Amino acid sequence: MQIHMVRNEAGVDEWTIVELQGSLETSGHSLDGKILGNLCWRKDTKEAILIIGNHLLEGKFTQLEKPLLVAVPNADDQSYVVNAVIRRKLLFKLRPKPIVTKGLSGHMLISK
Amino acid sequence: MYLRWRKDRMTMTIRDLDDSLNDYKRDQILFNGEKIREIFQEARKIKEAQQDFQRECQEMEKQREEGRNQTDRGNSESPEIEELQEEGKKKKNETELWARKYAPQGYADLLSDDAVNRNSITWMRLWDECVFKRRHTVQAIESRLNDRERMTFSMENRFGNRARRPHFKILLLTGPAGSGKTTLAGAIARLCGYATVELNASDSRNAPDFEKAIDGALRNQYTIDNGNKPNCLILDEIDGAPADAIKFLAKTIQGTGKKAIKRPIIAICNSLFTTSLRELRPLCLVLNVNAMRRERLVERLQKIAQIENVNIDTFSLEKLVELTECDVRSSLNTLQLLGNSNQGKRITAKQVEQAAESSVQNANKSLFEAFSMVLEFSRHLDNKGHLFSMKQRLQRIERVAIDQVATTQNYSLMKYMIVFYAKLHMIVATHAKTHFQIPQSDFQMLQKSKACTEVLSTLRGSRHAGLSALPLLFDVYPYLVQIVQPAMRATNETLYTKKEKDQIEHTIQVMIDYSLTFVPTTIDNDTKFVFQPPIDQVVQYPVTSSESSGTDLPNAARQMIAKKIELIKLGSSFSAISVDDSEDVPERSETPGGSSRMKQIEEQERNKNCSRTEAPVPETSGTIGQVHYRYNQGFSNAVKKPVRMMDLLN
Repeated sequence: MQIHMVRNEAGVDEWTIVELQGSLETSGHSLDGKILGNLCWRKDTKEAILIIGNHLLEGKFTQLEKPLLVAVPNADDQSYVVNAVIRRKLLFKLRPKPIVTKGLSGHMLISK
Repeated sequence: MYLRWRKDRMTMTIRDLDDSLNDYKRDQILFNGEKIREIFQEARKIKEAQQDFQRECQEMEKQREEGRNQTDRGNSESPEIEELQEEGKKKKNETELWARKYAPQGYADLLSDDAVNRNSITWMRLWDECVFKRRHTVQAIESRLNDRERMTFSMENRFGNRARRPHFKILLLTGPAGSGKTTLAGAIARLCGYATVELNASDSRNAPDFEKAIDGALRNQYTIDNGNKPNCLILDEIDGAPADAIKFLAKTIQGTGKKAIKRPIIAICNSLFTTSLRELRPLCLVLNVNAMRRERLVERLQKIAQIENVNIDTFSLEKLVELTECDVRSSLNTLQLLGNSNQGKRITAKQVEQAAESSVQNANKSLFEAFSMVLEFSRHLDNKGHLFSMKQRLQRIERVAIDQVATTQNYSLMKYMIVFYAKLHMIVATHAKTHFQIPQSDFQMLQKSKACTEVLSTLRGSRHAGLSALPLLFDVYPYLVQIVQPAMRATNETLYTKKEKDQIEHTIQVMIDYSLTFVPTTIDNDTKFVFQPPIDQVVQYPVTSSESSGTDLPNAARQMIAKKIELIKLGSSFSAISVDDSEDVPERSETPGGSSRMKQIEEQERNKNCSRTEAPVPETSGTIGQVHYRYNQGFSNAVKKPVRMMDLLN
């Protein structure tokens, strides 16, 4: 059976994957509606910094070998509507650094 | 008589010249034709002058005979003596120092050791290849050196066709005062065809000044006003130059390529082992100009005495040389002084002794020595160990007091000044040795005050923004030191009660607010955590270790606090991210959320450290912090190899 990939008429977004070497734990609660953490970029090295809880993760964009499409099945089951394309992923593969995020005297702003 | 002296001097010079020429030949130091020609020209000039002089003499003789015939025998005022006296009068009026007036004009006049003179000239000639583009000269010199000399006078390795320079770019002449170092430097530079650029203690000698001098004198090619002669830089009294200037010099002479210096530098110092010269020493060719031979100096002094019409015998001159320790300058100055004050009278050895003592000894004496003269009996012993009489002692003290101690310029009161020192001597002089030291407490206090100001400027709590440092120093910081060191049990971190934990947390907050911390410092082979900045040193009097136990935090607690502060500081650098999206900035330690968060971290740490299986307390407030990240560590050493489905099924 041939499945038609239909391009979304509103346009195709580019999404990105966040890949973590680790797992997210919520101590029994569901992840729904929770803020995962804060993501920002270092100005100098273009590296991404993701802060989850007390952990600081450093990662960077890597190009996917084959791009992925994000599609939802159409009503007729014969075709899929492509909503987004994923060409690269944000890979956090290093050991996270433990930090304490807490407001102190002299806030340092990390600009994007 | 005068004519005879001049004649003698000339023949002497010529003989010296011939000697030195022979000397050159014997030592086979090659001078190129030009140099020899120069020397011969000099010799010829002198000979011509001598011939002129002889003619003059004959004429004078004739005149004198005529005069004798004309005037009576009894008249002692012969024209020769008249002329002589006139000359003498002229000389009395002139102010030029003999040391300068009779400075050596050429190589033959140099009084310093022949070996040193020769070596320095050889070194100067090594520059010929670079400066005058005379490669053959250097090659000739090199071919005539023996192995040991070749070490000293080595040249740079040849790079392509570029002119080589000597391995040592600086000639460092060292020796006691008045041994003719400066004279030698000037003489050899002129002799080798350089124009001298002198830089001595009276010029300011910082690194920039050196740079200017070197740039101007050594890197530039020919200058206009020196008749197309290349420059040679003479750095006199280099041991007195500031250390950074010498460092700069050492760096400069090591320069290569475009920055390389292309002219010789002669440095002169009294003491070779001054600390500031340490870096320069291995880069220099060091020649030791020893105090000159006594006979040589006496001979020269005799000549000068004859020329200057000073009536002094050889014995007194020898005494003078002995007293001045063969210091040419000093002996000449003393001789001039004696000559001027005695005006033709015979100078005795005793006068020489007195003059030399006042001019030489006191010049060498330091302030401390002058004081010990006043305060110690051991300075007033004669040869047999007996104490001088009171009168003699006071006379000696008087001399010292006038020369050394009295420094004010109120001369009308000066005569009373001695009384003080005499009295001081009579009352407090001892046989024991007294030790003197220049008072340094002023400088020490200045340093201390600077350090304190520095500490105070780094210590500024966020709450004291408008206050000046002084009220803070007196009213806040002393208590601060107490506040951040609460009484604590010395125990494991995990065993503290909640109250104690709060106390520690408070301490940490306060310390962070004042940007204080503890840093490990090794004191007497013992690592201790001390305040950084050292606030306790500013606000407390220094306490001995036995006293300090009362109020201070134990070392372990300090270490713990330091660690926590560091953790928090590390965290704070990323805290801005949480500020980005949420408007309400957590209000530091006061907010309950903040402190609970601290606890959470502490608990986490405890979990980690003590491997307790305590579940983290779930938070109810706030949106961040519920999601935890668990890193999957580990590695895989799996071997990939293709496996067929068939193999599995079988």
